[in-house]
Amino acid sequence: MRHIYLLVVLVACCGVVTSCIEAVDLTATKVESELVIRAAVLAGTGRNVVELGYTQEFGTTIPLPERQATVSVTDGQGNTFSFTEEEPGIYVWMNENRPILPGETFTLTLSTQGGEIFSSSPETVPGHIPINNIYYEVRQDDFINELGNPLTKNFVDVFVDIALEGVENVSFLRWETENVYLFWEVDKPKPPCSPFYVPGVCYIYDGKMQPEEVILLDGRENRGGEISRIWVGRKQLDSTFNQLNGFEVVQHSMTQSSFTYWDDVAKVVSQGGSIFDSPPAAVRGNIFNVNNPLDQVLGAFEVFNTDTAHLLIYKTDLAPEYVPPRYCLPLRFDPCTFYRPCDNCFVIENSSGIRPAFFP
Amino acid sequence: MLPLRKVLGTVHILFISLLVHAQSESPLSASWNGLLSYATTSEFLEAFSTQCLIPLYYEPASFPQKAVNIAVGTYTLEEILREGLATQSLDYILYQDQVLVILPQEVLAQLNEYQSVQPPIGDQQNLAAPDRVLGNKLLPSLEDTLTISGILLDEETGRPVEGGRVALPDQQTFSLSNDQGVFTLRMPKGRQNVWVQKLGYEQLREVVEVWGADSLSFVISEEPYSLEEVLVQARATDANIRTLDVGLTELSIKSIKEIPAFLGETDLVKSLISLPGVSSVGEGASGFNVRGGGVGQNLIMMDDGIIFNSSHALGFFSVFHADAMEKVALYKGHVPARFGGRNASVMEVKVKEGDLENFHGSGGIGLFASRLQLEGPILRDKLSFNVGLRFSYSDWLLGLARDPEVSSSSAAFNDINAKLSWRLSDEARISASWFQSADEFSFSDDFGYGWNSTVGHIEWRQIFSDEFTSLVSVSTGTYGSDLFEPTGQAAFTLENGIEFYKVKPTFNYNPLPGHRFEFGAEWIRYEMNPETIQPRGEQSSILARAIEKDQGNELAFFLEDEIDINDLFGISIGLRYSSFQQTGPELSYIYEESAPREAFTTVDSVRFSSGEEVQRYDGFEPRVSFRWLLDETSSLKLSYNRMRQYVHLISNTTATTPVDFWQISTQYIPPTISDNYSIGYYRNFSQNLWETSLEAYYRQGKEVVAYKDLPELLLNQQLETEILPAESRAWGVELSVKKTSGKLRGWIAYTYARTQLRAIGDFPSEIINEGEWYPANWEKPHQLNMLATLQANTRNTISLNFTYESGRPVTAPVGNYQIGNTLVPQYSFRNAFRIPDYHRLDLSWTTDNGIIKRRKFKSSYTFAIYNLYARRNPFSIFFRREDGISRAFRLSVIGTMIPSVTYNLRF
Repeated sequence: MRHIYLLVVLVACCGVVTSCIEAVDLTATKVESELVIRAAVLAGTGRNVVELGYTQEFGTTIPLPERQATVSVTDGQGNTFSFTEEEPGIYVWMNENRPILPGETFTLTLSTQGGEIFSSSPETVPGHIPINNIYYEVRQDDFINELGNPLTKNFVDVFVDIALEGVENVSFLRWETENVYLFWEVDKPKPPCSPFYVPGVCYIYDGKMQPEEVILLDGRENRGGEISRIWVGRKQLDSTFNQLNGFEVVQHSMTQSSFTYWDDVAKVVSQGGSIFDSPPAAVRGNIFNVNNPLDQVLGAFEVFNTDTAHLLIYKTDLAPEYVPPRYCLPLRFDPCTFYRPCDNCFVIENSSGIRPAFFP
Repeated sequence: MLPLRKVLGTVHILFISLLVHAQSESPLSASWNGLLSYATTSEFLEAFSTQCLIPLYYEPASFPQKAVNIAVGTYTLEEILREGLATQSLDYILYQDQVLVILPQEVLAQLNEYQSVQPPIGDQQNLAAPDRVLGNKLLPSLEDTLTISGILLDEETGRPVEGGRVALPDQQTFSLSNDQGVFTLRMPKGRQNVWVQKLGYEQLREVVEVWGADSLSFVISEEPYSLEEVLVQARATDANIRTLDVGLTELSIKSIKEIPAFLGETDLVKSLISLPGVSSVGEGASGFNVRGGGVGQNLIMMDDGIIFNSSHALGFFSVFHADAMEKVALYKGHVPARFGGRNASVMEVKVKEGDLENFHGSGGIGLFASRLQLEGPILRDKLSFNVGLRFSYSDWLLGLARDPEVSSSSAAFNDINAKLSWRLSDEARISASWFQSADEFSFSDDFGYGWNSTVGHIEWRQIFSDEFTSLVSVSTGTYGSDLFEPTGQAAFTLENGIEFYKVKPTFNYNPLPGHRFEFGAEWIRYEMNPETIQPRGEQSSILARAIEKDQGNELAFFLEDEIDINDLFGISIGLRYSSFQQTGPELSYIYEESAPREAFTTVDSVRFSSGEEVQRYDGFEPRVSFRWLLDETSSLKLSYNRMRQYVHLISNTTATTPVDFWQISTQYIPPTISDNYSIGYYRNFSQNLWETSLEAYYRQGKEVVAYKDLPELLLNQQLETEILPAESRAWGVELSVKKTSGKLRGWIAYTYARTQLRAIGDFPSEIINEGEWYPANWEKPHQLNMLATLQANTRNTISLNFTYESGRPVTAPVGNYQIGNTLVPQYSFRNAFRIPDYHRLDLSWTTDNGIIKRRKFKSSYTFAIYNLYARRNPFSIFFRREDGISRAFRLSVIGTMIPSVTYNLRF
């Protein structure tokens, strides 16, 4: 999917590097909001979530939830399981007592406050495919900075290996990688601003890496057996690696319809506007308006099986030349003028005092 | 004194008028008194010359010098001259009352004998002596009007000249030479003025005496100075009025070179886009759209060989090496019955035949690419060659980029044209041409593209008689493309391709006055190569696969008669019958009848063995064109065509790309059928100095290939599950004003054009935009092109080109929503919005060392600026997430002015 963006750059080269990309105001092209349904049922036991919301204007990510909907899933035996609205637009079914097994089939049904009824195509839970190995590599890439000067940056690329041996059906996989790192406040001479001060530790949950990229594998296109070096994420090797940096890779084993849906999502999020782009379109999934079959809604109903792998990178794991400087260096005077997070790491966005389970 | 042989030469050309002018108004009618006595003939003639006050030529050594004595009296000069010469066995010729030539009587008797037979009909007595005599004057034909065929040849190169006008001014008829240089005239028996004209050539006027059917060849030479050369149409000056073609555009290579070009590279395809009714999706996009047709609906031929991809460098340039080409013609309205297989237009590019007499060459060195063309005789007057070579060296340009990924990228293309032409006799010619082009593109170590074309072509032209000629051509070619990812777990090479084999005999038969029959057949075998994907490198986990592709045979028969009903009305009636047979081996899928055609609705499959018929389509394609000559300067034309297309370009990108591929019609992909209606009014002013035209068209199509939303076209064994049959309709008006010659020349072309599609399937996934008509990707309602070329002097030419176009339709992001961590754009209905309008001004200045014909080497520099005022014309609008917020952006492919310089050489 990175192709498309790169191709834009390449086309620019053909134009003797004269192409340009400018932001445009599309406020004049507002259209009515559409309902978006994201529903997922996971193999095993746990929390199954259906999110109902509406599309939004550019420039805002404030959710517009669909409240007081009736949401349920029905299994192959005709058993129906209802979801309850936990937060506005967030509907949850906790299935601790009803484990979901590979091979089971589920269908989503929901009705909105406005009386419209939606239903999905039946989806069968795929089998479990484990991640055999997770590892990283440091890579140097050259860039041009905003001033036009050449710049070299170091990156950590995360890879996984998997094995498709013994898998009966064709596999469709998607990966999401999240990053979390440890932030240590400055080791200050005592007493600094406060005699009771103890340097704190925060865990910064950076969220999904490369959110604009959808990483997929089509089992039909792979020869099976062990598949190695599947790239699942990249992070710049910066001061966040000074202490401990962790990666959580979640591998979703999906149905073919889910794969098709995410493949379509990948096509529209990777649009670069170049002459080589496929004409974009609304991404429709497997959910239909029962009253109006022409109204194929945004979003999809998925059933999937997951596997999770973790990777921890200590600064001592890195070659000395790659070890980045600390944000917060020990100082002996005037500690109150420090970089504020060094004094209180909780001011950092997405920071938390809760240690990730895979962190030591 | 004039040497005798020169005198005889003069006489040979001028003798017919001599007797006529020795009449009462002759300078010899004056009187001369007195006794005339001279010692020698020369003295007498000198004295006589002073009396008659006109030049007198003779060769003293050619006759004896005797005394001349004439008695006293009053005589006319003529009487005195006759008297004076009679004793010397001399006689005289008076040419146009201006020149007097003295000749021995025996010489003059030979000439008089030659002239003694007078034309039996007409008023040819007023004409000069014939330059040539056709047939046997002793055995004249019994018919009053005879069919005369001939060939028009270029003096310098010996090649046939196409588009030359061979006219009988006294009969007010003419014939245009075809691409073999052949013309056919109906000539009354007797002596006729024949004028041969072609812009860029010196006019030739001869007197031809016809006694029987015979062949007639004219050799014309290029004008030594090009100040008045054609800019737009290398045809007869009023051909736009008189021919039956509606919507035919011919461009000479010379005129194409005057259009400012991107990076200085003369481009045939881009030149066509400056004409009315022709457009492209946008800057840098390959291919072109004609009157609402898609890029894949244009038949592009080079010497009758099919070109499947006409672009280099992802579409910035075309594969046609201008120096090696003779001409390009685009049929966008009336398409003659000999052409078929595409819905929208036919682009016919002719490779130049090599000079049979002398070696020539041309070349150019530009910033991006260089070119070389050589031609000349292998066996003088018999066998010639023409070779053209182009290659790019753009990597240094990429290397200038600061982005390391760009600077480590590579882009290269090359092409070669070679043609051998063998003149077996005056009646037979054989030529063989070869074309090969290749492109390679790689972006750092991330991915790359490659594509290549090869076309071979042999043709045999034969003139069997004055009425019957033939052209048999055999061609074959391949087009292949690949996409590769060089490294990593997903490294692969994906390949696609198609081959064709084509045989096409065409015959011209003109047995009846006022009829020009053309008939023939065409057989094309298409073989699509399996679509393959191969792992690349040891780390790749990609599964090697091959998708079986299809093959089929297209067979067509055609007949066309171009009829001159009378001086005012002409009509061309053609009929083409075409059929297409898809053959095995083939695995054909069967789908649920009550479900949309999807992979998961497959219920069965059928295997067809090799050669077994899988599907057959056929139908008639009528072609009619009508011309009404309103007066000498204006005409009205109408045309109707039905076209059937059996091969489809599968491309769901904004512009065509190397990974697009061609797909033949199958059980589930029927042929597209279009009906094309055109009407045009043409008027010339100021003796054809200004040509104007107003054309309107309407085209409707059935079974046009459209695509479902976000289709998966590559490596799809069941391509039919992603394709929708759609209807199309296109209509428009084209206005053109051209100044064809003079120091300042050029054209203004305005086009109003609409193109819409509609897909109404039986199921929701087969309906686009709720079943409403929606604009095609390439629809640009308003287009304005203006080209002005100023020939400042013999050395400097300045051209300005201005283009304005409405923005093309796009599917725009109108909002967004979150799916997990992924922000997904919400898109509008298909093509519901338009990008902003496009306009651009280009400038070029060519300065050379003069264009005097005799100079051996001619070099020039062309300085050009593309996009003079550096407008950032938007090509597309897209969505991108920045700082967690979705924003819309527009891409300008060329966002600034681009200067270039090219050095050109001719020798």
